[in-house]
Order: sequence, then structure tokens, then C-alpha cells
Amino acid sequence: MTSSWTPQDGREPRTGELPTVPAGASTAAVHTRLHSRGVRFADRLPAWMGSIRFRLTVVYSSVVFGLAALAVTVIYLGLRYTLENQTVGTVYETPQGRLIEVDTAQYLQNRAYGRALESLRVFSFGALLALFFVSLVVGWFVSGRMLRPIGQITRAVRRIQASDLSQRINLGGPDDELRRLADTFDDMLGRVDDAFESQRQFIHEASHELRNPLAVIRTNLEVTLSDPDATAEELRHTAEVVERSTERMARLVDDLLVYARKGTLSLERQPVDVALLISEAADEFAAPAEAAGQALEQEAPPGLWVLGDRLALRQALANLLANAVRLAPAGTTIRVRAGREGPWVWMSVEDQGPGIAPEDRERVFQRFWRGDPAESRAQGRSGLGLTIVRQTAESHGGEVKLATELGRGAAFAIWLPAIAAPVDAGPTGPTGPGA
Amino acid sequence: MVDDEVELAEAVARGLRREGYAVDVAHDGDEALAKAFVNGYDLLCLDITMPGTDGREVCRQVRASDLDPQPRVLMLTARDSLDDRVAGLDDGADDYLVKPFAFPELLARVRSLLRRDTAAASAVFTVGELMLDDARHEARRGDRRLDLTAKEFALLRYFMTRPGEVLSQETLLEHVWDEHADPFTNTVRVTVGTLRRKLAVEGEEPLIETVIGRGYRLLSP
Repeated sequence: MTSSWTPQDGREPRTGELPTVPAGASTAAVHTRLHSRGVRFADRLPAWMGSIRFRLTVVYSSVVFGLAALAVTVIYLGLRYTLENQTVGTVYETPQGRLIEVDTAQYLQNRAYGRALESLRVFSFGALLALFFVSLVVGWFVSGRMLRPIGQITRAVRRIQASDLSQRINLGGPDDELRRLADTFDDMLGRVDDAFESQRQFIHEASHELRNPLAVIRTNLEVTLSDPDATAEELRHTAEVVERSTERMARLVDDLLVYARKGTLSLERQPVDVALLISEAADEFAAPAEAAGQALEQEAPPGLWVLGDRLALRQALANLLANAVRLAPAGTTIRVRAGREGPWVWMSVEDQGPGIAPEDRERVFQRFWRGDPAESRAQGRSGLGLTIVRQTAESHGGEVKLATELGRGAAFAIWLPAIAAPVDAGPTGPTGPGA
Repeated sequence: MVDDEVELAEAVARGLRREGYAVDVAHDGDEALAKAFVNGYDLLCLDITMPGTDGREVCRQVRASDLDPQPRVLMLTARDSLDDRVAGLDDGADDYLVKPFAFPELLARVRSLLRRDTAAASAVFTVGELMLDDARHEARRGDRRLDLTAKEFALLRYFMTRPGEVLSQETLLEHVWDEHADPFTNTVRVTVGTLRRKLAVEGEEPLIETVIGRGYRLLSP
């Protein structure tokens, strides 16, 4: 960061000449420069001096040295005070003047004490000096020992590449703070690895899906263009094939984008009126259903609310309705309904179509699964419709349920957590419809 | 040519037919197996990902069958991971092509796979004075260039990969004509006749011999 600021030093006077630059800008630049000088000084220090180990050592050593010095000083001062106040003689005030009676033994002893005190001072200083160096060495080793797991974590993390997320730190030892940090890293790596893996899988599948129409286009073009005697009719046929394939690819890319965006969980969350959602979806499909000779019934009591992304939910309902309209025969009824059960709101689309075979009940939700691949290709369907429905439900904290019987029809229901109606939503009030 | 992508299968078949190959098309694995066991094919181009019986299953069943000779198998697939390729080859495929492929590459691989049965080491076959360049689609007798139709070229290629062998009408019909050829017409006889005339203009020695009651033979020196 420091070095990236350095070129600005040269540019700074020029910015000062520009009248448009506000006054604050140049102070900021000066500030930056001062700051960068400070960092440059720190950069000039050897690397080991900038380390936590060094700082820990200095702190440790200073504390030990300070405490020891304090103790020694207190002892020394106390001793000196005691010794200096010892009686070595008596002073008598007489009319002839002062008479000093000296206790010679005491006096000599006192001199000896003085010398002892002197050597105590010298030795204390020596010991303190030695203690200082010893504490530095001990501190250096102790902090090194403490920080060893961090080095281990750093090395492990350095080994981890985006291409290989299988590496783990696997820090052993007691269950302490650093171990917990390492374990948290490992957990995170596991989640990132899973996410990457599912992303890779998705890209693999998506590219496979895109390759098929590409192959159709390429082979048709190459075969036709390499034929010098191709008739106008053959050329036209090739153009039509290319058009159909590009339509299919465009549809696929659209759905892939919807799907990929859902995966990021960046859904907008706002209260959504379910009754409104149902009636909008039903209106959208009224014309196609009528064209297919089907009756479309809707039923949703007012006052049902969920928290979520309106457009995503509407897309999910539309996917379900599109399937129903496509599959149900003429003369049948398609019902789109909503209701509430306990803390859940459900929205369902029921048809009287062919139903889904038991072995397909889970597979219908899989990416790129299609009941009839050839036909769905001709219609340009992506095979992502129900996958998007499930993904939408799950990203809203809900799920999709399927009830179906072969020959009788299928009912898909999206279950979402209910919320209370927003205050400004009408007379139902904040207690919500469940009250 | 087996692929559930109808428009891909048709385009490949069209291109191969133009090169003089007899091509039948199937759109799923079961259809492919049914045809493979009835008609003797030299080569199967198999898409791996198909609904129902997939390409790998078709390949396994063909390899497990008593078909003799076994057809060559070229796998076509949109899957390109190493595992997919290894799995395909383990199932008995001879070669592997990832979609979308360049059609000339498909042709080159088809030629190379069909050559494996023969002694030829390149796309150029030589039998005596006859020379046939499969890649350039060119045939010569000595210095004279032969002007052949696609069917005659395919017939000559089949003869030249089996010089000296007596080939019956049925064999020729099976390997040079596709399933739409009517076995009760004399199309084989007529085409062999025109090819024989084109190979030997007046004065030259005839190269294709009729073995009465058994079939035809390309004379090799």
C-alpha cells in the first residue's frame, strides 16, 4: 500500500495548481505523505522487528524488568532507610557546648553496613541487567512457542489454492483459542470447497447442455456449406435448424442466469401479498390455458403474506403454470390456489394432466431433467423450470411438495413461512390473518 | 449414426452419405440395438447421452453380442471430462469425439476407424494399378483419373479394402447401401457393372471379375 502511494508524491504539487481541487484534498495528500513516511521508516526495520513475536518479547521483557527493578529499588531504599537511622552515638546539650558520645562499635558496624549497602546496589544493578537480557531471551522463546500454531496456520493456508481446496489446517493440541481459530478456518474451507464443487458441477452440466445445440448448428453448417451443389431448399432447411438451435440456446442461457442469480441468495426481501401474486399469475396464463382448451380456476383468501422476492415467487408460479398448461389435456381444469396452515402459507398449482411416475418424482426437480428430451428440445425448454421453483422455495426458507397420481394429475405446492400483514397493508392489521 | 438430437443425426448422415458411405440413423439406444443386430454395420457413431438405453449401454451390448465382425464404435458426446472418456473407451468404444466437433475431423476418424480392418496405413489405398485417395475423394487407374459417382466410389473403396475376396451381392448391399435399399432390385449388379466399365476402358484388362453364383471379386496382382 505504501509503495502505491509513493508516485503521488511527485504528482501532488500539480494537483495543488488545479483550482478545482478543494482545499481539503491537499491536506489529505500531505497527511498521506506523512503517514507513508512513517510506514517507510518501519519498512526499513528488519522484518523480525515488525513481528508480533518481537513485540511480545519486548513487552514481556519490559514488564519483568520493570517489576524486578521496582522490587530491588524498594528493598534497597527500605534497607538504606533502616540502616541510616541507626543510633551510633548520643549528643548531649551542655552549657559548655555539645558533647558527643560515640558508640565506637556501633559506628564501625554502621560503616560496614554502608559498604554492604554499596555492594548491594552494585549487585542489584548487575542482576537487573542480567535479568533484562535473560528476560529478552526467555520472552523470545516463550512468544515463539505461543505463536507456533499461527505459523502452522499460515503455512497451511498458503498451500491452499483455488484449484485445490482439499487442504486443511488440522491443528492439533489442546482446545484453545488458536485451535478454535484453526477449526473455524477448516469449517469455512469445507463450505467453500462444497460451494466450489457444486459450482463446478453446475458449469459442467450447463456447458454440456449448451454443447448439444452448438453441435447441431456447427455440423449442419459444415455439412451444408461444404456441399457446392446445395440447393436453396437445403440452405433454407439449414438456416431453420440454426434458428431453432439458437432459440433453444437463448432460452437456456436466460434460465441459467435466473438460476445462477438465485444461487447467490441476494434475494430482495419484502412483504408479498400472496392473493395478488396468485391472481397475477392466473391472469398471465388465462389466455394460454384458454387456447389449450383448459379452464383455469383461482382461489386465494386475502390477507396471506410472505416475506420474499416478488418477481422470483411469480416466476416460480409461472413455471408451475406453464408446465400444467403444457401437459394437461383440453377440457380439464387447472387450479391455482393459496391458503394457510399453521405458520405456513402454501401456493399450489393442480392439473388433471398425465401425472408423474413414482420413479420420476424426485428427478423432476433435477437440473436439466426433461420428461421427453426430444420434444422439450423442439420446444426450446431448458430443463430448469422445476429446479428454479425448488430453489426459489428453499431460498425463501420453504419447500416444494408434489402430490401426483399417474393418469390423474399433479399438484405442486410451494410452502413458505407466513408473516403478519404489514401495518400499512389494510384492515387486517398487524395481528395478521391467523388471529 | 445414433443420436437423440434428430437434427444433428440427420446432418451427420447427410454429410457421410455425400462421402459415399451408406448411413442408417437411429434416435435412441433401443432403435440402435435393433438395427445393429439386423444389419451388419462397419461403424457405429454413438451419442452417449440418450434417454433410456444410452450410448454406453448400446456399446456394451454390442460388444457382448456374437456379432461378427464386430462394428467399430465412435462415441460422440458433449461430456468431455477425463472420467467420461475413460468410461466410454472402457465400454469398448474405439474412438471418442467431443461435441461440437468439426465435421472434417469426424470424417477423418471414420476413415481411420474403417481402415483398421484393412492393411492400409493411410487414407490412400493401392491395389495393383488402382489408387484410391479416401480423403481427397479421388480414384485413379495408372495415370487415368476415374470419374465415379459417390456410390461407385464407395463400392470401389469396399472392393479395395478386400482385394481378391469374393464378395456376395448381399454383403455389398449390406455394407455399401443403407437400409433403404431394396434388396430385390438389381441395384448392386447395375452399379458393379458401371464401375467395372469405368475401371477398364477398351483395351484395358477388366479388374472386377464375376464369380458365378457367388459374387464379385477385385483382381489383385
